[in-house]
Amino acid sequence: MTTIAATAPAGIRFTRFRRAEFGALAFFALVMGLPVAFLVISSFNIAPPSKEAVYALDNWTRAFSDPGTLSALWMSFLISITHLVPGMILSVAMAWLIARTDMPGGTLIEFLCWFAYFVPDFPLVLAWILLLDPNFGFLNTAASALPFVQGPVFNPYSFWGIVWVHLSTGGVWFKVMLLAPIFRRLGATLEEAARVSGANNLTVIWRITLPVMLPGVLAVAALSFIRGLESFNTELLLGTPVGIYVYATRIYDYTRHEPPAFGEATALGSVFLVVLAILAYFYQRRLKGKKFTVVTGQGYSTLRVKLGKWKRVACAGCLLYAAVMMLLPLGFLVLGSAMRRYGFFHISAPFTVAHWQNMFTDPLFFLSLKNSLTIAAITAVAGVALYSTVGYLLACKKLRSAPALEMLTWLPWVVPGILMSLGLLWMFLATPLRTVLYGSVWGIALALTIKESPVCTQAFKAAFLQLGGDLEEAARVSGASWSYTYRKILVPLVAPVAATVGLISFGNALTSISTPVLLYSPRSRPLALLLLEYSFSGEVERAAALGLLITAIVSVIMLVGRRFVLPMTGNISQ
Amino acid sequence: MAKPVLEFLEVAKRYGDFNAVERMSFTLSAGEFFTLLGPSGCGKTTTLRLVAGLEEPDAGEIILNGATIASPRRGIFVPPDKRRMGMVFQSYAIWPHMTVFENVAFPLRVRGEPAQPLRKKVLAALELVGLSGLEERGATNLSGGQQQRVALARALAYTPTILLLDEPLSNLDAKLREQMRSELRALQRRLNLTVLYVTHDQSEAMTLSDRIAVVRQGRAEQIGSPVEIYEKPASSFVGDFLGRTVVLEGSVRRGAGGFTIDLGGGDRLSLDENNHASFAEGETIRVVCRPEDIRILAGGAVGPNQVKARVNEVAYLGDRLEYTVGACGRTFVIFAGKYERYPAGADIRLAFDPAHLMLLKLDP
Amino acid sequence: MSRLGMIPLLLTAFCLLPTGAFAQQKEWEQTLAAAKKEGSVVVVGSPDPVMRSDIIPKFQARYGIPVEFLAGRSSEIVTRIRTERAAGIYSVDVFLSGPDTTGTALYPEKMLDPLKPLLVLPEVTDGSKWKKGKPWFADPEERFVLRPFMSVASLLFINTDFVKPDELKSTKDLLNPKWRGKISTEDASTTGAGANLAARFHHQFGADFIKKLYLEQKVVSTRERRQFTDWLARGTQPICLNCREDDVRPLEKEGFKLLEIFELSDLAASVNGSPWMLSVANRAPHPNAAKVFVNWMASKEGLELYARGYGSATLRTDVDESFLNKGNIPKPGVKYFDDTEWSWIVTGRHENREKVWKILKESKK
Repeated sequence: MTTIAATAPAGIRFTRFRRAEFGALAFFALVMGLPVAFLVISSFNIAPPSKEAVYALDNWTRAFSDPGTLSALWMSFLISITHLVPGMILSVAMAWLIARTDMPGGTLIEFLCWFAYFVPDFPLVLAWILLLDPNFGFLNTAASALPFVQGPVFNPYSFWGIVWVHLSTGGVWFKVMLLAPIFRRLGATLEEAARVSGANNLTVIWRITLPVMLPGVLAVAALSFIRGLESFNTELLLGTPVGIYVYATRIYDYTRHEPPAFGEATALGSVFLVVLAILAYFYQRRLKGKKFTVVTGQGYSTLRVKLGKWKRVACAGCLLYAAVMMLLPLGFLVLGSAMRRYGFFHISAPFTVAHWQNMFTDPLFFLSLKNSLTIAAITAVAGVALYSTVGYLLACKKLRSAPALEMLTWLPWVVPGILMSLGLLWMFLATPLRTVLYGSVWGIALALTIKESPVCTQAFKAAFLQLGGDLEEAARVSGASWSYTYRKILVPLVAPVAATVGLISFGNALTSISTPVLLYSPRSRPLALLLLEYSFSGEVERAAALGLLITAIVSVIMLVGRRFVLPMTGNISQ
Repeated sequence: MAKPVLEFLEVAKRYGDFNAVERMSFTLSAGEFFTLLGPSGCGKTTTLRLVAGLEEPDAGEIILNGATIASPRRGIFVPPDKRRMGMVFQSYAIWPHMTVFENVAFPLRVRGEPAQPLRKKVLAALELVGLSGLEERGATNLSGGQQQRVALARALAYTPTILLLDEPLSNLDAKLREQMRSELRALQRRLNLTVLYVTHDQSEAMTLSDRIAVVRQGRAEQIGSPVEIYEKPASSFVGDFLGRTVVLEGSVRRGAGGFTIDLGGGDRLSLDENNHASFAEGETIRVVCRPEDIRILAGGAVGPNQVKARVNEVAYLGDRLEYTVGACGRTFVIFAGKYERYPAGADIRLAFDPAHLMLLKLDP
Repeated sequence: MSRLGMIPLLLTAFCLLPTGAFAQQKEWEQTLAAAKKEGSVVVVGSPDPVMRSDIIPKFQARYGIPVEFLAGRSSEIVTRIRTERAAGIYSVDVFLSGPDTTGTALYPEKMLDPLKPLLVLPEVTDGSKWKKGKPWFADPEERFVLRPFMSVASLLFINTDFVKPDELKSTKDLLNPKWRGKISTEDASTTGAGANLAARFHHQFGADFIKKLYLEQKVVSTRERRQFTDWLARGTQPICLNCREDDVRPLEKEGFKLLEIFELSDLAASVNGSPWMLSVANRAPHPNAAKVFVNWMASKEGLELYARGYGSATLRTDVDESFLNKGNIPKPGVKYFDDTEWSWIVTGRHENREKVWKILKESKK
């Protein structure tokens, strides 16, 4: 005779669920909502600093009555959309080839994408200038040797130049990185069933693979679009000479005004909130009431689509893209870090290892390296722990506050980095936690963890949406508590995504500048602040060397991760 | 009567405006095979999930071995992990990141079983379902039937109070389904398991169950033994739902010709011996099959597993023909393609597919 | 070790002074002891290799007090400190901040303590050691902000392979159609050196000149100092309005024929106070360490390190200037336009800059 261990108050399962929901909501409201609220409120304060607050609309009217504002917003939108469309097509194709087909070299190509994502974009843009400049660009010089070419063929200082460089820096790599694990989790049975029904490969992709991947693909598209709107490094270098200004540049300008004009910057930044609200609305509507369970405990198979003779073509295509868009400028970047002056090949003895040596002999280098690695490790672990929970909650149909929670998780990307830092700085200082957080590696790690919230949340959410509820329920009925189920069943099942999120958090924590700049103290100074100092003082070559070093660190971690984490979970059929 | 293992009393479950389960009641005795039968969307899976603790009832009480495990009125809800149930999901829910051994060992590990007895129990459970030797296999490198067995072994590894089965056979091919069905029944008898079974397949329900609850729109329309339900449907819904089953009666003959069933009048069916070991010589049994598994042949043809029949009525349904036929002293409806035309009154033969026949003991 | 070496040196210095020197010396030693007890000094400034690799190690070696250096763009630093102070945190001791930040934020927002009474080392207070006859406090009250630098700033650079020096004699020559699209500037439509120069043009020559130069001449803008320096060297834009001397110098060494122009016939050369002005925060957490630091920073040793590393001329008379570019050292008797003059920073430049921006924005409509 069996007896039941204990009776419990009604709804214990749901109470605990609600408690988790409430906890997540409260956490994000505190660390994201509060800073943003602070920014918005202070943007209406027109009194000079350290004077009694006076609230009025002046900052807002000034920001929006500026004739350049609207045209910059339009330009941002155009650029973002223009590189989003080919970028999405390319990256979906590449992610599918890597994850779902027998294309050779998929692992290498995926690795290249990861690597490329973490290559710092500033020196990479300089590399493109060296390649494409109408007067001295290598490709233009080479092209002019052809008999039928007159004048420069390429011009990076143009709309299309900016779009092109975006496709090279981050654009496609970022998307492939996020999409490949999602594609990998798709059970092959769906595709196989469609093939058996007589559909050809293309039909399968169009009718089966893409629709079931919809939440993931849409989320990645939304993430990329927002990233596109926020980007300004490329536009600064390539757009300013020809008078192309984007919206993010205008915000950036306000923040570095003397005295700084964060009120106007916040007013302009609020437009992103509106864009976010619109995107979120369409996203919710598109996905409403649909079920996206594609990984269940049955028929889980990782059989791949056979491409036949096309597999070599596909591989060659991917490699060619990677070679042109990444290895080519990267080659220049590596050279640049070893040149006395980046891009000047015709000076005498152009090559030197001095920048690398200087970097290692900088008295602050090793302390900063240690700080950075500590911060990155905390960020990676905290990111996986936090966002797997949030992603799980959001993927659950039972969540009452899903739209609110989801909006909060998007905030850190919607609010420009320096503004978010200011909000966080205020939040750190205004709470009793400030002794622990302010100026310490913990505070920086928290800020960086929050900063990557959209990408981490969306990655986990997509993974959990695809995971059948059965797998979790089977464990519960088997007698496992929710937390045991979470650790032993759910987390291992989303391990490839967890690894992705961990690595992205780790890499971004190493490279992010605008987030820690208001939060660090001399004792917690991260490596990226050195990068800032180098670029501030015009030391492009040393910045390139440091950027490459950071990329190398991330690559090593990634290789180690692939070696020890993913074999257990990534490709189960092996 | 012994105290019931499970009492499911006046339980209701709503999803928004939709009443998935409406004041449903039934009880389960120890060692009983109880089936919830009904069309999809009728609330039978929700009922199973309520028993498992995967859903919380809005009203009513669920009592397990005398202890209340769910009662919104009294504020009691025992979470699924504290109910000691075993469950096989329709999708099997095999964890793809674990080996067969680890999948089966999971319920034992959760309960802190020491390594040695754990290993013994897992291997025993795997042997029970016929998967010995596959324990180190990755759980996803298995065929559908093997996955189903893993799911079953996992549910059985720690002797659950009740074994919950949610359409466990629906994802298998016909031949395998047949085999698993008889194995499942044999296993249940051998271990004296209390089983709550969910299916939409009436013939599956009839062959496996001790008692059936026919579920419609969240209510149990009728609860009774298979024969009770078949013979005396309490409503036209129950009648219709079971009506598409053809049931014949005959007696078992074991002899040199193998295992045959004498249907009287010279008609007999020969079956594969192996799956029907539990029937005794001369025992009167019911033979159950679906109308679509019966082919109509012209009167003259003769072959194994064919019986004489006569067409009573013909109805033209456009895409097919509906024949009301008389055979072996019974009348039932079968269908045929529109090119197989026989007039009313014609003598025909009905060919049965032995792979799709189910045998049923008469009520004790 | 060097600390020990310092003591006899100081002793000798003080022995030569008349009465009161002993009391002063005693007070200094008390300050020093208290400073060590405070443990560190927090200095805020812009990202700066000289600070990182020369000042911090040297000061610590000299006094055994570690320097904690917070670097950032001045707008970021100001924002951060403002927020800290609003929350009741006072973390900063010393500011080495640009003239703009000091004049428009630190001083008017009353974040400073008077610096003058803190400067006590004889070699700092001694008027004969300063080119102006005394330490120059630039703020209106003449006691908060010490201005230690004054060097001649370059007006523009040309690449003589493309532009002959006599083709560019006066500002009118900049308007020569020959140079259309050939002049580069740091983006004048936002805060920075580009706008500052435009403000000066506006101040001196009026709106018409701004329109002609920035609009009709199609001046090419950039935000990246590396970019227009490269253009200058390659000759794509052989006239560079805001190129920075420390960027151009290495290119000259590589053999590029680049020429620094300080003045034109109708535009006087200018001097400025780069890289920073010295001030101390009020409610400083390490007041004694701050006192030690500012005294040392204003001394020969501190300023010489900076002058050498940064290439700026100091206002001290005893700093070795042999390693400086001759053109950067102000010549006695010459009248310069002072780009760091207090009222110019606080009001004049701002007003002119706003007018320039209005002109540039209207062109976009």
